Amino acid sequence: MTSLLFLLMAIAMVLAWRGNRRAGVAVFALAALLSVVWFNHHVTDPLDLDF
Amino acid sequence: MSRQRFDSAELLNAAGLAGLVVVLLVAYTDQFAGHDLPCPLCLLQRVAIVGVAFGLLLNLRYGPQPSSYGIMLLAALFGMAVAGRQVLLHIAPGTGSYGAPLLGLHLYSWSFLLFVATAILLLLPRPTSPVRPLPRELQYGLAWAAISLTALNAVTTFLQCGPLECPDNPANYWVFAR
Repeated sequence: MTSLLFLLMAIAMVLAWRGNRRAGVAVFALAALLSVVWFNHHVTDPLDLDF
Repeated sequence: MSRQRFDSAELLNAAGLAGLVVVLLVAYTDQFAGHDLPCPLCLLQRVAIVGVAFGLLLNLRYGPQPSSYGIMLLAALFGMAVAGRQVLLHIAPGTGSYGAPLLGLHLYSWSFLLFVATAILLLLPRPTSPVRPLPRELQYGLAWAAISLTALNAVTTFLQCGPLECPDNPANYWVFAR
């Protein structure tokens, strides 16, 4: 799954650099959204904090 | 003949992209030379670094635009959240740490500072004096270095984690453990 995020980012970069800014930003937005979902999935361990 | 300066915003974008390429190379050095496999949160911090690099790349290709800075800021905030989360996981005494420190700080602490610095650098003003563009070869070299490293991260992350999720404390590569 994390490799998919890198792949989407690489595609976004190539699209943007080759002149298709709008498509690049759209793919970046998808990657950003999936990154947040994946971050939420991994934030499961309780923090060992005591106040 | 008047000597025009380089556009400082463009120069800063190029320097930022070069800096992030170096950061990704340092992460790879730690991974392969130091045999320090990145954890899921470490990989998400790399994704955030690539996100900031995407905003810098847009600025190099199309000239500085507010939306590109917005992308960089969003990516930096995401990276700050991920790195901050990992710092908090290890902040209490006796909770251990992940990986070997570099110059006294763990990579996730450096990462957190890097994202804070990115957000601060976005505040720098842009000059209005006549400027000349950066050499095209430099822009192309930096852009393709960033793109290549991002694509390479997709490959090595797949080799390490496979199609699903990485273990919290990875000890070996998924592709070699099958």
